[in-house]
Amino acid sequence: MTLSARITAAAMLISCMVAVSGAQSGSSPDSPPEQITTDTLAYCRELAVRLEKMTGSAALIPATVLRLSTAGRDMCEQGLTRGGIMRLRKAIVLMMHPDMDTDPGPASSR
Amino acid sequence: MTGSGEGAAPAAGPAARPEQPGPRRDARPPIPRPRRRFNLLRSAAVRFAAIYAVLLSLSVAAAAGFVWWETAGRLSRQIEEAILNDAQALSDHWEVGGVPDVRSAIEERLSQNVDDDAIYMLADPYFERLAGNLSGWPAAVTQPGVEYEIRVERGGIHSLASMQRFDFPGGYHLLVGRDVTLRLQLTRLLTSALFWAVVVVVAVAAVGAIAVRSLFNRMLASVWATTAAISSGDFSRRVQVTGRGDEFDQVAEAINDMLDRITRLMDGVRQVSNAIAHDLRTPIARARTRLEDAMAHAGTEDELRAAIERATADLDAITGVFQALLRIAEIEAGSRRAAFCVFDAAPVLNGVAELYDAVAEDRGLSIAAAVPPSLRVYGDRDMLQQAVANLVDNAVKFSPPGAAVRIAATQSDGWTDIVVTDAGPGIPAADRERAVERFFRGEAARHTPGAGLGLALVQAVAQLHGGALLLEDAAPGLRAVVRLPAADPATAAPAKAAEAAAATAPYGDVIQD
Ligand SMILES: Nc1ncnc2c1ncn2[C@@H]1O[C@H](COP(=O)(O)OP(=O)(O)O)[C@@H](O)[C@H]1O
Ligand SMILES: [Mg+2]
Repeated sequence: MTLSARITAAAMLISCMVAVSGAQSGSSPDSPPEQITTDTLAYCRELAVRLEKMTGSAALIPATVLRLSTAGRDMCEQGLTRGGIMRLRKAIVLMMHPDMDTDPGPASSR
Repeated sequence: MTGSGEGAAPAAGPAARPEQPGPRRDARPPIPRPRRRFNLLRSAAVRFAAIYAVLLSLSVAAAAGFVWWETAGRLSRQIEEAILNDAQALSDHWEVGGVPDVRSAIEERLSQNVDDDAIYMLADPYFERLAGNLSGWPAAVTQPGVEYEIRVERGGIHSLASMQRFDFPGGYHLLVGRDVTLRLQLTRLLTSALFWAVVVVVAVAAVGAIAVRSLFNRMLASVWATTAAISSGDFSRRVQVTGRGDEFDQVAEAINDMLDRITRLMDGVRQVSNAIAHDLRTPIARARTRLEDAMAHAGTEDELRAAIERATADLDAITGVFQALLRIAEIEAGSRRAAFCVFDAAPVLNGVAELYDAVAEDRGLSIAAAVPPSLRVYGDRDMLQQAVANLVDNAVKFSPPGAAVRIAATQSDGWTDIVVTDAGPGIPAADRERAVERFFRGEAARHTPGAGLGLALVQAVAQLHGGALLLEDAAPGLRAVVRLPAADPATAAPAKAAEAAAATAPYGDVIQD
């Protein structure tokens, strides 16, 4: 009896500790956290320039890339930086690997 | 022993005995119920319940651990792998082109980071930023090759990132990290799920433990109540059988069978001891009266001697009764079964017929033996001889002059029947069952010598052989059947060897009651 009670108590204690540690992990209140610099308007413009360089030297530009690049730039200018950056990044990836274009886009209807 | 107490003293014994259990039982307090005293540490039921709860908790913990390993664990392993892969690729770039090459590689990686979770930073020996998307080197990341979980700010939102530091030649440092907010959310989800699982398990385990305990108690309560009742004198109580036929029922039935057998044995012992006390009182009193009478009235030494001789004969008869009782007890104990063998019973039956021939002739009776030439029986020759002799003795004793006594034997259906039939008064149907009890003597036996032990011995012998004694109406007369299981033919070989002994077997230990 005593042994099994101890096992039960230990199991409950461990699960409580897990819960507490899970809630606390990541909180280091001493110093202010470092900033991520790749979600600013500046970086968005940087990406747009980069994409322009890539499309300027390319022979064929997929319709999706064009659409994503316009949408991304517009969103960044409207203040939706993260969404814009995401679209521009997608466009860049598509330029690098055109075969990854899973979105048919409005140009080529199925 | 003086004359005045002759009748009173023995009478007090048997008369007082049956009264004893009565008042004692009445005076007892009511049978105690199983004690509900709740001693947690001593209770087997609680122990069982706790084992149940622990097993349940362990299995749930194992399941939760597996879920954790498969989700949150897998996610962090994947993140660590991605970080190490990145670091390896960037280190390759460092070898090729140093800082500029690593910088452009980092920028390219960031430009393609659709998931928006990558963190890179290349720093000079003074931890000043050369490239990457982190505003500064986090103070907490001090050791290379160690995984850190650091808080970062992403567009004003705080999130958590897993990072590692890698050192390049020349004192340069690389930091590669991944946002682990997703994993954090999953961890939170799992933690709360696990917490509630623990709550549910504890609740279920508690309910289950209570159920196990009450089941256990319910099953034991009946046994407990029964044994307590019996130990306080109420032998009629039995353990309750639920009828489900489960293990508890099996235990209950085994206990009840045991109690039935004990009760039967106790009844037998009580009956026999009562009978002994009762039946031996008369001959002992008679011997005593004879001696007293002789002391008071014997004129000559010869008269005195004759009285003493008669008293001695009376006492010898009493000793004989005791010997017969002991013999029956010995047979019932079953120790003689070890000496069983296969033998031919035909000469035994013929021998008994011959032995009683002379006595029968004196009374004008005839004895006829219709026995097959060979009658194989598995058992004890001497005992069987005694049994048959007792039956023939009764037949001769109770038959009217001129009647016939028949000894017959038949074998069929795996049974060997040894039948002794007479044309006497027989035993009334009402007495037939009791006739085999020790000391039972019927109305017809009032004026014949005997102690009422003959049939008891026959039955004991028959039962020892796995058979039975049947008393039937021969209209007129009694048909006594000793029914024995047939001898196994495979073991019939030693029959001949034992035959020689049969011819010379003494009849001295036949109970002449
Ligand atoms: N062959 C028989 N005919 C009539 N009654 C019998 C016969 N055998 C037994 N009994 C009855 O059964 C009783 C018990 O027999 P038994 O045990 O041999 O004792 P006992 O011979 O000493 O009387 C007898 O007293 C008698 O009443
Ligand atoms: Mg007899």
